Parts: sequence; C-alpha cells; structure tokens
Amino acid sequence: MLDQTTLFSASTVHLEHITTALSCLTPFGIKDDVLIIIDKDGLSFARQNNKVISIQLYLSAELFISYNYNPPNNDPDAHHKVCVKIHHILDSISVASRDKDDVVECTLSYNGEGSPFVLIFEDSVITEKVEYSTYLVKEWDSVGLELQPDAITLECIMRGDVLYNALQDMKEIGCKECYLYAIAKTGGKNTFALVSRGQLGLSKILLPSEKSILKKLEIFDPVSFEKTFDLPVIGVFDFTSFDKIRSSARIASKVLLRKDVHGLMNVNILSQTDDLILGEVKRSRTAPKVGTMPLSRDYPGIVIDVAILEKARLDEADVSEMRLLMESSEQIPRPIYDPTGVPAKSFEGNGAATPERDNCLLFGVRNMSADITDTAAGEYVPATNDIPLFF
Amino acid sequence: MKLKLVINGSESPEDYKLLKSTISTVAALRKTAVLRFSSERLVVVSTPNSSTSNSSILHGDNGQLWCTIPRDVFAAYEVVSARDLNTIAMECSCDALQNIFKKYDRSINQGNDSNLTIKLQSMPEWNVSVTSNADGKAPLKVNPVCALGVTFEEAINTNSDANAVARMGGPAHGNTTKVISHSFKVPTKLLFRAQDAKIQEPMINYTQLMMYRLPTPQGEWGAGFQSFIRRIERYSNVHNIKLSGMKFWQLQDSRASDHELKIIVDELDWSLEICWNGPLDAMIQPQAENEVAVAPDESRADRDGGNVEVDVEASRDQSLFIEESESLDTENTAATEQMHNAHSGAASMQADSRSKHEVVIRSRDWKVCSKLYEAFEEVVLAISHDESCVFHCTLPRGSVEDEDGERPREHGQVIYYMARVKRV
Repeated sequence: MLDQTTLFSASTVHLEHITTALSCLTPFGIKDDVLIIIDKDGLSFARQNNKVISIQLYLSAELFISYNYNPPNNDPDAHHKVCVKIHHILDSISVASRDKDDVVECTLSYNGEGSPFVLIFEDSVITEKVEYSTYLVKEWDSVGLELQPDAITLECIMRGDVLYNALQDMKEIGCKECYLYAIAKTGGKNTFALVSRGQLGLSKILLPSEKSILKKLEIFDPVSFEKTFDLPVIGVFDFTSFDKIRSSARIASKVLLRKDVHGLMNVNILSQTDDLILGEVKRSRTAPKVGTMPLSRDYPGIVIDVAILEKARLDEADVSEMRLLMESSEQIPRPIYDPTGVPAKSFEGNGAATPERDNCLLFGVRNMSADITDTAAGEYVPATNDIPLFF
Repeated sequence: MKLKLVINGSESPEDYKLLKSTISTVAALRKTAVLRFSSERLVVVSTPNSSTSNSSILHGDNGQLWCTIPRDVFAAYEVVSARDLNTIAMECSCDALQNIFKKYDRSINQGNDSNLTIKLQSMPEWNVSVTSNADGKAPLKVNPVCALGVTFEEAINTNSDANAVARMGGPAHGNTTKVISHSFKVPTKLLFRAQDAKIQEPMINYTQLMMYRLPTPQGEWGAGFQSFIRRIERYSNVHNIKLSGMKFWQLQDSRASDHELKIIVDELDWSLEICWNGPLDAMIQPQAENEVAVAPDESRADRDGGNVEVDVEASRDQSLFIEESESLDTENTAATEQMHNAHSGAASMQADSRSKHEVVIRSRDWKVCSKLYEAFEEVVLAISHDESCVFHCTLPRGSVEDEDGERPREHGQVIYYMARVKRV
C-alpha cells in the first residue's frame, strides 16, 4: 500500500487522538474546506473565516508509524497544499472500533495535484478505502491575521482547562460580546478577566491569578513596547468568533495569548499527550483504554494556532465601564472564579525560575505564515528535553 | 373470533426474546404493524401504510419487514376464526406493545415468573363513535376497533423490615406477598379479509440472485462482520449505499474466499469502498448456469414497463420464503426467462453480470439490518441484481420429539425486504 513513489503517504493507529485534534476545527465550519499543508515534518490543517479568525492545527510526523513525503528534487523546504472538507476527514477518521484487540490502521495518501486525498483503513477483516476529490485549492490568505511580533501589548500564558471553563461559562450565560481585561500590578498581583456582555448585562469571570494557573502575564506599553505595570489592556471580541477556540482550549494543556497593538489576538494552544489522556479520562469517567498503542515519545502533542481580530476599537465609554467593573472587585480578596474545582498539579520549577523570554520559546517563533516550512518545525516544536522546564 | 396467547418470559426466555425483539424491531421501523395470527404461527408485518397498501410489490420507497413467530413459542396458543387457517389480522401500535413488554421485562428481571397473557377483547364502546360518524353510508369501510388485552401478574414482597425478620431467626412468617395485576388494553384495528389478502410477502427475482450466508453473529467472525455492517454509520450524510457482491472465477492465493462483499458509496466528490475480507459463504443457485444459454432478444421496454409486476403476478398466491427458492424457480421459468433476457446484452456483459450482483439501497434500511444482525443466529443476505435486497435472519429453536420421531421446531425468522432506491 505504501508506495515509495507516492508524493505523500503516512499511516497511523492513533485515530482517536487525531479525531480529538481535528474536532477542534469543527467550529470553523464543518462543511467547509480545510487546507492541508504537507511537508516533511508533519501536516498542518489551516482554515480562515471571513478574514476575522483563522486556525492552524499541526500534527507532527511523529504521530505516524510511517511518514513519507517525497517532494520532487528532494527539496527539504518543499510543501504541498490540498483542500478537503473538514467533515469528510472527520467522519472517516472517527472509526469507532468495538473490538479492542483489533487495531485499525489508517493510511493517508495524496499524489499531488489532480489526485484524490485517499484514506485507507485496515484491520484484520475489513478494508475501507475512501477518496475525496481535491480540485479546489484555495490559496492561504492570512493578510491582517498575522501578529506583529514587535508590537505586542499583552502576553499571557495560562492553563488550558481554566480558559475552557471560563469560555464554557460565558457560553452558558449567553454572552454576545466578550471583553478581555488584563493588568499587571507592580506588586506582582496580576489580573486576567473575561467579561461577558449579553442579555444579562455584564458578567465578569476573573481567572485565578495563582502562578500555577496564570503562569505569566506581561503588559507592554502600546507606544514604547516596554514592559509596563498598572496599565490595563482591554480587548473586545465578538463572542461567536471568540468561542471558536473553546473546543481547542478543551484539549489544551497550555495556552499562550498574545495581542498586538493593531487589535489582533493570537492564541497558541499546546495539547500535550499525557495531559490530554488525563483530560479524556476525567471527562468520560472511564478507565484508560487497554490496548491503545502509546504515542511516540518524541511526539510533541497537538499544536493549534488561532488568530482573532478584535471586533472594534473600544470607545471611551466602554473603557471606563470596564475599569469601573474591574476596580469594583479590587476589594474582594478572592477571585470569583474559584479554582478549587480544578485539579491541582505541581509544576516544579515553574515560570518564576525560568527567564521570562524563554517561556515563550515554544510559541514565540511560530508565526502565522502559511509557509510553515520556512520556519523549520524543529524550532517551535523542540524535542522533549528542550522544552522549558515548566512544561 | 377468539384469540388467546400465553407466553412465559422466565420459563422460556429464548422464545420470549424472539417475540420481544420482533416487536422492538418492528417498532423501530414504523408506528404500526400488522399482526396476522393463524393456526400455525403469528406473522408480524411492517409495510408502508399497512392497511392501505395494495400490493406486495416492492416499491422504491420503503422496506418491508416480515417476522414469523411459530405457535410453539407460546405456552398456549389459541386462535379461532371463520377465515382460512383461522386467520385473524389486525393492525396495532407497536410502541404500546413494546412498552408493555418493557414493563413485563422488568418484572421478570426482578424474579417474577408469571405468564403474559394476550387476549382479543371486543370493545363496543370504542366503536360507537366510529359507526355514527360513518352516517350509515359505508359502514363496512370502517374497521372495527378491538383491544388486545395484555395481562400479567407481579408478586411483590411487602415485608418492610427484612432485617428484623432475619434477626429473629424464624422463617419469614412476617412476609406478606402481594400480587399486582397489570392489565393493558392496546387498541387494534381488525382487518377485513380483503385488506388482509392484499398484504402479501414480496417476491424476489431469482434470476440474478446472489445469497451469502453471513458469519454467525455469535461466532468467531461475528464481531468483525458487525463492525463491517456498521462502518458506514459514521458517515453522517450518506443516504444511499450500494451493496456489491463479486465472484472471482480465478481463485487467487491472497484472498480468503473467492467472493467479495463490498459496501460502496459513490458521491459526486467522494467515494468509499468498505470491503469484507473475512470468510463469506456464498450460496450459488445451480440452475443459473443452464439458463444463460437461452437468450432470445426481447425489447427493453418490456422490462422497463413492469418486470416486477409480471413476476409478482406469476406467483401471486404464494408467499415466498427464501429457502423455497429452488423449487419455485422451476415453476417460474417462463417469468424468469423473460427477466433474464432483458438483462442480457452482449455475451461479455452476461459473464460480468453473473459474477457481480449489485443493488442500491437506503443507508437507513441498512441500519435496520445491523440491528437485526445482532439479535439473530443465522443470517442470509440476498442481493437480487439491481432490484432488491433481502436480509433474512433465522433463530433456530432446537427440535421436538413426537410420534413421528425427532424433527426441528419451526424457526423464528425475520425477513427484511429492501427495494432498490435507484438503478445501479
């Protein structure tokens, strides 16, 4: 099946993991095309909606038992793009195997322009082959959705489940517009809050400021771009857009939020394997599946990159309203959002000990350009021992 | 007219399971079903618009489900009617029946062993309004409404403090057992003889038929085949699927059998093939070989006009079961020859069509098959090329001994007839 002359072919048994990863794309339009970028290091799934929000999801080649990409002329920087509908891929890949002893192996292959994207599923008694036409290739257009790295006003790293819970709460109270409020205090007490504006009026969700949850929060002056304190950064987003990151946050272990002076927010999500398995057990309340193949040690986890454009510039009234709302809470000693429901985890030698700049090594280098081949994957997906300690 | 059935779920769980799964399968398909009681068996039929359906022809719209429950499933079976074979036919709501079975189930599971009794009861008060509405114009047109009275008893222990009794060490003299009598009335519409006669088991065209005995659901390959059937279900927006059975004339070393069964989806921008690689037991019709020789030309229009009707006409008075196929085929030679000729074009086409049997059916119907597959022991899939598909499930029930010696008891069976949705 694996022909060495095929442009791209890869086989895997981690179908459940891939299903979990790809379901993060569904809020971005399940019946729409997703752009798959194939290069020597893995697969990127990219999608952009109305030039307001875009997502890139990266599956590393380590996830596959075999991964063959044979670009013409053996160009190491080569890449190929192909468009497939999200629900097509998801439907196929979510093979629910009842028989735990029988492993389903899936082979993906693509032989360049004009040929279909083929998935072959094999177990001991069934062979399934599905072919998707790929004649629509949309060029990746990320104009306006690229973070300007030297004009960042907010940089923040937090635990994924906390963000997920906050977004879930906002959805439940019927949020229409979502404000983001972040401030770094001179005393070291940082505040990160999401404020919902909906039919219920304004509701504030204050994320816990403990270092174990809000690992890092830095605010930069919008003019000099130097680190600054006691100056809040406020952003406003349409909740239907903002909520699209919820399913990604659900599987996230770490989330890096960065916002630049032009109102673009970049959400970088890393979903590490061990955390993910833990999360799934927690959710489904079932014992870990026996017989599932362990993921490769070198597998860095799912990396998701979302860029969201702010809804509008804030006017003075909004800003003062936000400040009023936030300052009214200064007296309350405990955050409204109580972290006790979140399982406590020890993070040995966390952020405090590590130089601040290193913290964003994992995410910092990765930018929004479609040519992810240009930034060699090794840079933003370092081998396990290169990952900063706090991971 | 008299009808009284008794079944005991705790004494003969297998028999009760047959009745129960029959009703639940029928209930999953349509709101109502026709129950046809005769002296030998109960036949449960789910057809599109049961009471108004006017023929046994398989239409493009919906599948038909025919379930046979032999009389010896019941502990007591008493059917008396003025019609041939003591037939009583009625249409009733499956949901109501199914709910009663669920309640009875619960009672059985709690250790009760009472009988479930089903009786036909006349309900004059239910028919009053109906007849007055008819204005005396055509009173015959209105089907009389009766009730299927279903009763069972449930014994419950009312001793409030079991521990106290145990502590006293004495026999449970303080135990008082009370009996709750459950009684339900399910409204049923009795069918007239003519209406009943219209409900006929569909015919299958035997000329281009391929039958596979599927792996036993409980056997070694059962789980695998089950997942083969269900693989298609994860594709949410698939409406039609093509079943394709293929015979390889040259046996290759690499394959387990010389037959291949596939589920195929061919949409505009994507295609899917799910292939079963496990063992497959094909039941080939021996006389199909001889028939190929006769190939006079017939107009195609003839076939398009109404081949199905012709076939049905030829054997209208018979109810076909798949097992009887061989004997019937010889009777139907005239019809089958015609049919076959229509299919035959060039000689190469012929060879091709003989080795390939395909039919397009609804994926919804196929889903019903996957449920049936779980519940039975012997399953046969028949594909009549480009016409219909039959999913035939049998439940063997051991054998009985009587004065003639040992003979097998009549099988319980469920047959699901699916017409093609469109041409291959």
